[in-house]
Amino acid sequence: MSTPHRRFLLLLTACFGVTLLPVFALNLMLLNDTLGNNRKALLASQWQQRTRGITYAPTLSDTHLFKTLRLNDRLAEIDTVVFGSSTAMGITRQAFPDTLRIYNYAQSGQALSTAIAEAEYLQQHAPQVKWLVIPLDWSLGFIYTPDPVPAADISAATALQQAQAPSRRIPLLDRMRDALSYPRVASLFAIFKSALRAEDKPAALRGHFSQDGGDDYLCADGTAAKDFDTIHRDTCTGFRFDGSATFANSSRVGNARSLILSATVSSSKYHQSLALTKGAPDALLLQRLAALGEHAARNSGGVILFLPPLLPGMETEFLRHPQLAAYLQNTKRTLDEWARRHHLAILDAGQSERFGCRADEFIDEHHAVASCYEKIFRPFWRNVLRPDGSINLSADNLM
Amino acid sequence: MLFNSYGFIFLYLPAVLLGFFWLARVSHAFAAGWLALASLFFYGYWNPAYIGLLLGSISCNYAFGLWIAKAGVRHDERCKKQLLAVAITANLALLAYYKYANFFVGSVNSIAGTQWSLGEIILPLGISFFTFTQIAFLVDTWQGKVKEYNFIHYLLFVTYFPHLIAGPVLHHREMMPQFALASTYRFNYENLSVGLTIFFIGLFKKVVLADGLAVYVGPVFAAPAAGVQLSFIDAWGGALCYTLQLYFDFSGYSDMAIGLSRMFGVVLPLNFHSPYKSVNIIEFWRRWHMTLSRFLRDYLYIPLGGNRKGKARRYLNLMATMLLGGLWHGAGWTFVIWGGLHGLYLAVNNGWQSLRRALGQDPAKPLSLTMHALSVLVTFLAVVAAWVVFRADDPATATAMLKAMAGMNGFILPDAWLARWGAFGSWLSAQGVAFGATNNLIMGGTINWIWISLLIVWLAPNTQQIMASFRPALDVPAGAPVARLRWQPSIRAALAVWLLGFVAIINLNRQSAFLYFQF
Repeated sequence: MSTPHRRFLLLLTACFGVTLLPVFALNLMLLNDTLGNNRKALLASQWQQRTRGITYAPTLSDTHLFKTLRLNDRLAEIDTVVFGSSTAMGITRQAFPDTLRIYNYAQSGQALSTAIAEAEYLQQHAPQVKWLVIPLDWSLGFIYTPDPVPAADISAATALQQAQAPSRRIPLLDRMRDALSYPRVASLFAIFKSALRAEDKPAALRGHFSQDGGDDYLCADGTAAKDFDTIHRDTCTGFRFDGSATFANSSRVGNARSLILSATVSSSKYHQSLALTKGAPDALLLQRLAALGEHAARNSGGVILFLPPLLPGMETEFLRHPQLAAYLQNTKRTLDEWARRHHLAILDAGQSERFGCRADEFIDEHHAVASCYEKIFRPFWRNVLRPDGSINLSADNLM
Repeated sequence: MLFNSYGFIFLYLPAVLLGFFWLARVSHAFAAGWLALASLFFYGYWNPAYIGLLLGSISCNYAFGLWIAKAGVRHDERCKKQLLAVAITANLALLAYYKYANFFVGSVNSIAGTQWSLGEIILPLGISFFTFTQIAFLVDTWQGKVKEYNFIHYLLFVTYFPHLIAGPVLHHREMMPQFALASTYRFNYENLSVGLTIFFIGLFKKVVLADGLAVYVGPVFAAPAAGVQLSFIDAWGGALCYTLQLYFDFSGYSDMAIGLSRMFGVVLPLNFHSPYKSVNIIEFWRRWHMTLSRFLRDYLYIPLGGNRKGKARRYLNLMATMLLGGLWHGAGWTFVIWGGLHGLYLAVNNGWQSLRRALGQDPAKPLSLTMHALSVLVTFLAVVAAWVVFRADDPATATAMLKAMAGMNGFILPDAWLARWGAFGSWLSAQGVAFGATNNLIMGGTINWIWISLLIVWLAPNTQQIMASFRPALDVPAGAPVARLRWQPSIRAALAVWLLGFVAIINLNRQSAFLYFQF
């Protein structure tokens, strides 16, 4: 009577054993090597400093430590820093005149309040950084959010210390839970798939599980690259030497119309950021930005503010919206008046089609890639760059 | 501790199973004691503070049970009755304090404009279940139906972890004899394979289906309070998603409880039997939360007079039973209204059946396929409407939802669908179908969830039909057996169970509590 049941149980146990145990063990190995592991950020930063290649330290959604290490390595040689969230990550050195030496310090999810705090820190501790490039992002609501501006210390030592803080360590039980989770299982599957495609399969597997990073390789434009994460291998995903993101792991927008329609419906984040705030920028944030501008001007520099580009046609759709148009116009009017009052310049790139950007230069509604940003900044520099290479920021001809 | 957690599945359950069968070789009492202790750990893992309350409740009820039984031996009816009254009052007072005191104070405050406060009272998990279980024990002791008074078995009967938090509401006469059986303490491959299979079916229902649907429910039910006017599609989508979420959540929990218990050689009563396949509300309540319905019938409806005191009194008893049943689910007016709605449904259903009998028809006669499908649909829609009230945070939200479902906010389809449907969308628009700005709370993916879930609910065999060859539960209603999907311990079954288990386990990271834990 029990023999078939015994066989059933043996088979069931074997099935779970051969699937769950390796998944669990391998993912735990990968997790120990990535999550909360500052060593990878250090290694990736050192490798980029040495090679000027493309890399990032896992994870792509937590870029603070890597970017801060990179900024500090570059600080002595730069005079321009780009702040902001992933929206601004597409801005490259090519979007600026050769006279400016930039580092793109934009980080995933960075709010405007944090960007202001970090810019203030640099004004105090790195006066050689004269030009601060800050996005005023209405689409994600950052200019409306009444966040208190936090105190920031973006020295390498503090960033490392913060990354090692007990509160940032992930408990073992959580790691175990994560190791068996669906996203991790899917990622492991992708690793095996890529290893199977590789010419030297055992070496590819070793590269994922036992080495700090993959082998050095060359991207299509000849730039060196190295992957310190186990996902997105050999795709040149990560950050360039100037801090900009390649977005190589993301496909470009195909059906822009559908995305634009979805962006305007009331449940979308874009709709909500306008509807909930009625398009009124936070006064405290503007006040701190004005102070940043004054300080930068005294230091013979300036604050370059810009409204990030949206998918071609998207902002126009919002400006036609019966309810939201008034809110968006309110935002622009308020910013314009404020900028004129404080002699600040704002580059409004919201309608990216005006600059010749195409839908395939976006990875989604609000993430433009480098070529679009180059098109946007080109006329800007034509307006503000004097023949002697100096910059004349003026609010008169930009909004 | 949740059944759908890694700690429970990979640490607690194997440890308790091993300990139970190892100790059973030494002494059955040790094994039963171990299981009771493990159950207390299971209960206390959430909030150890309430272990004392649970043990106090068990000790007092056991003592009252013994005193009532002793008074019975002495034929002292008056003493028996007084002891029963005291014990039931104490149980109800405990339940009233923890579950209903703040509701009562809040209701008084809103009527009288007063500001009384009892502070925050944290509801002990499963208090409704262990209180009802023990009230049944006391009443049966008073009626002389209880034969066994082994304290370890009683402790285990109340605390037994597969049922402790969210039922089924156990009856001592079906549990105590099983705890006394020697075969319960012998490891049995069949029990383990059947139990694991039922457990993984339940885990899949909960983790993949119920939790998959859950994400669509919250925003819809939260919208009216945020001042958002729901569209027809949004409201129906939210209501159907909740109806199906609750189904898979409770069905999954019930399967897991039955499966877990079976691993220990104990067969639990059936609690859930494809309720959305019911052709009327009377049948619905014979299939939904069956052990609660049984309790309410045996210990409330029948003592109130049942159907023995005339038609009017019968309807009154039905309404009272359902109102209290609603209140049992939670201290809130929406639960009371939900209970009242079902009381009304039952009264209408009983009245309709009486009318048919008066006209010479037999309500028990099988229906034609069309009439059967129509009856299932009508019953289902009535249940959906009632679930809206049950889920809503307040009567105003329920009213807003029901108004939108009735089309009182118009019949506009989301404009996002117009873009997604391409030429078909344009054609529909040309035919006069209105597309416009809705709240887009219900997307295309939600509709897929709904129709696939409905197919499972209405057409797939349920767990006890699949496991029919191995007596999965007590009190399984007789019905047509399924031939094709009937489970046997085969290679194919092992692979199927592994697949269900594997998919469920890798999705456990989005762990959520069972809906019935709050009752």
